[in-house]
Amino acid sequence: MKEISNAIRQCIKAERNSEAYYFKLIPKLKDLALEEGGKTPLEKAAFTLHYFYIDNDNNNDFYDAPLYIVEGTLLYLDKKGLKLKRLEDMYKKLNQAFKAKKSAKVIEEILKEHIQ
Amino acid sequence: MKSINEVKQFIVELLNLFPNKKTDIYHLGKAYYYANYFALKEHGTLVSTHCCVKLDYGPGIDDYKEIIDDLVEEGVVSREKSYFICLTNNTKQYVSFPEIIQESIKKAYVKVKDKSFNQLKDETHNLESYKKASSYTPIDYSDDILSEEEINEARQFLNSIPRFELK
Repeated sequence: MKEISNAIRQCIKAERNSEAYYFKLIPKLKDLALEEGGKTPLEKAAFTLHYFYIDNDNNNDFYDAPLYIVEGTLLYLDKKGLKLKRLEDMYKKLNQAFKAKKSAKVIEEILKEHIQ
Repeated sequence: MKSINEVKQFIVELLNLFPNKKTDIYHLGKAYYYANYFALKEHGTLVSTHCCVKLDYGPGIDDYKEIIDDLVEEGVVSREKSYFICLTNNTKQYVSFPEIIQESIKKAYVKVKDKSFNQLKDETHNLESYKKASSYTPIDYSDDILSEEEINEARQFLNSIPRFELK
């Protein structure tokens, strides 16, 4: 999970040039670092998204999870050579999956469907 | 409160590593910086979200005086002169750190243990994060971890994709 965490951090730094925002994520990232989160990059990415937007959504409010989680996860996949296409369609499906509290497997399928 | 307990546990675990379970506040502050740096660089997490701030002599734990006062009141550490602290026999566990955090604390200990006040001061004054921070404000560890190339890579990537919004 370190690579995904770093990619999220890169996105935050690129946009805000500040660590303050990242600090909000640290408690969740800390737990995430200790979790088993899949073996392949796609599984890891799906696990991370599920963890932040569904599984670890304590207040039952996925709006609490910052947008950079998705974008950092996409950057991580990009670095792994997994380029994604039709991102608007993918975002729409991810939003629906987050709202409906779908499994990590469903999220993985959405990501897979959009690989170039 | 959780983050303060993490700092207290950090101090307890660090002192346990030093000979005679004793060190000074200067080594303590630098070790706190390095423990967080290693935890972040190698595991993507932190020892604690409690800030490390820019002090005149290098990085230090924010509000370290109050935190040490608490530890003294709780009987966990004792003060020797004004800047040495020593673990007492009244052990207390504030939080249970995972192995990756314990490793980071040990690496930080190795990094600072044999260095003098001046060596640590010079070393930490050259850190990018220290140079960028204003006095008494938080140090951003990622200034020492992410290169300009990595930040530009992310910037270019973000510019090339539509932004994600929660709807």
